[in-house]
Amino acid sequence: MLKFWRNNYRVIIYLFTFASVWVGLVMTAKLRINASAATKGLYDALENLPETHAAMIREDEEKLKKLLGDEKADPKAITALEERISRSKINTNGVVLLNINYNPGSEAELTPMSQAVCRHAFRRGAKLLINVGYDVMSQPLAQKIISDAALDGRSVDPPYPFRESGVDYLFFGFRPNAFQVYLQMGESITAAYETDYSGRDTSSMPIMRGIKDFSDIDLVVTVSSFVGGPEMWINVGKTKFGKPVASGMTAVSASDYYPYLQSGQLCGLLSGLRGAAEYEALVGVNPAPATRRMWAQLYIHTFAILLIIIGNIEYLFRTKK
Amino acid sequence: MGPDTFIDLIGVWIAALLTLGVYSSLIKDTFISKLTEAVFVGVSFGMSIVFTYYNGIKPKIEEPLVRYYQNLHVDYATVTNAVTESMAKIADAETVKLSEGDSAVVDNIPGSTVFDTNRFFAVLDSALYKQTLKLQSTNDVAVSLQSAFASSEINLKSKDAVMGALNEYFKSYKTVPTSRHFWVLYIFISVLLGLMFITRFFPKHAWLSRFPMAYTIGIGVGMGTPLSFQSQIMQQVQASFIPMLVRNSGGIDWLATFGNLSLVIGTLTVLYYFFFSFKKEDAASRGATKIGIAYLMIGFGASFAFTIMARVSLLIGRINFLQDEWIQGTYEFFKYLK
Repeated sequence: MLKFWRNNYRVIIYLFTFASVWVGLVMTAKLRINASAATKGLYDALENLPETHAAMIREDEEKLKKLLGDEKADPKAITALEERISRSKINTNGVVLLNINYNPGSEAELTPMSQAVCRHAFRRGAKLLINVGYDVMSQPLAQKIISDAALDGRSVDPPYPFRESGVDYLFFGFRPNAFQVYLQMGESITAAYETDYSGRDTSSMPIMRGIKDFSDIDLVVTVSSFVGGPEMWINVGKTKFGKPVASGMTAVSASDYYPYLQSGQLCGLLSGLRGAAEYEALVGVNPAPATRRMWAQLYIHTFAILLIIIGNIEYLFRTKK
Repeated sequence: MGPDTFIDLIGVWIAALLTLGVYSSLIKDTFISKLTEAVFVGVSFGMSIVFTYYNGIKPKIEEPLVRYYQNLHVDYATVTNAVTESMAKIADAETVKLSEGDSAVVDNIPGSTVFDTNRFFAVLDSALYKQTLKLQSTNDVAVSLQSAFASSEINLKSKDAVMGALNEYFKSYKTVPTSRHFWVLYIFISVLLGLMFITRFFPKHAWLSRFPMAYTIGIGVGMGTPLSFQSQIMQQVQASFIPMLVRNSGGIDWLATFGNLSLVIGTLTVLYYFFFSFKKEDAASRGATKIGIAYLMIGFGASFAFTIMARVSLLIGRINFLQDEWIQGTYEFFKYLK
């Protein structure tokens, strides 16, 4: 028996691994998923976006009052603030910037969370800007995610109507030298992205009427599989422009980013498939691809724990002899 | 989720066979597994080149240069006529009918602000000096002006004031501003720097590639360092200054206190473990080092567990694809075909 195991253990492990995943995928029973505080951080930030946006307008109006009362105030600063307030009043439900920065290798983990975030933003009536990070391969993935979410509003409860490109959302596509592009967004978004992914002029699009630069963005969500991707947004989005930043990432790199959550530099963190399933549960996405895959995660993890125990017992027997 | 068209079906089958090809390396390296690896690398690289051209070189270099050349040779009168016509239409749409005898002074109109000529000029600049604007096209000029004025808050309620200001604007208007000539020079220098990278293929001239390399690294370090220092050092250090005893309305919050204590002890002992300037021979030093190692092991354990979870997620994704899109999708495609 032991000899058979030693000769064929690789094939046996592969077969059991495959079986665990397959059985998990055909399971239809509902799995209860409790959202962690990290996941709830992003959910709350998006859920409360209209209130946050209204508070920002009130704050700007207070600043304007003070400036108007100050004789020494710079007229240019007053004009800039007046323009910003009038822009902010166009998008009352807030503006979300979704950065998609992963390649097909991480699609299984990160696409469900990107889709859930898009659907949540659309349901809340937020305007959605989507750009792509360092990897050009993100572009076709992002394009599919956003068009699926815009077309199918019935997969969340309550549903939302069809969302139109250029009006409700805008997909900029890929640009080389992402860091410089992100910084340029602080001056003018239409200068950083003169055209959208399909080559249309962005400045003439209705969505851009209320959006000029980074100050008009209320929340940044970056979904990244690359180490350094979220840091870049923490540097640009949070540190430079003072906007709340949340991140979704593969489970491999998730543990590196918890310190940013603790320091408040990230307002939310979705880690791997588990984070995606938690977010789907909070938003009420149905069908929920990540939640469906959690049964398979459960079985395969149980199998992995069993293997560790068996391996240890076998090691004990071997060393005892 | 399955294939809708025959082309989709072919795509799904190719993806499924390539997936199985990759997994065949679990048994042993075969021609198929090597082929799938080569296809993956080739397709990724090929796509990268195409996407970089269409999203970087074309909109940022090729198209603006073509527009620059075209706008340099455009007839000045054609452009000013198109602008005048478009502005008249925009002003007509917003003009308030003034009764006879009223002056066309805009600040007399209720709810309006004084006509700001400087802002009007700035909006005209932003509409007419866009790098992508084709000045020969009357329609493009009209669309650009309309969108620029629609997003500005400028009062256009008096056509006389608007047209007067426009005539003033034309006195100094050029189809291509002087700054654009410098911009073209900057583009040429940038392209030249980019091309210098290619000199690495020619050992005799490879030293030239050091210039763009130095430029790129310099820009990256210059732009990134201050922000990284602030967010990855200053703010992280600031976040570790936390109260050792957390109180809430009911007294001491023991859980939060334990968490904060654990964080401070962990930070200090791990830092101490990596401090190699002197020998750690006394009991206190050895104890602190052991605690530091324990924290590191817990951290590595969490990372390793997350890694397994991530790899398993990828496997689940692939098996999900094989089950839903390949097997079930193909079955349903042919079922509906009947």
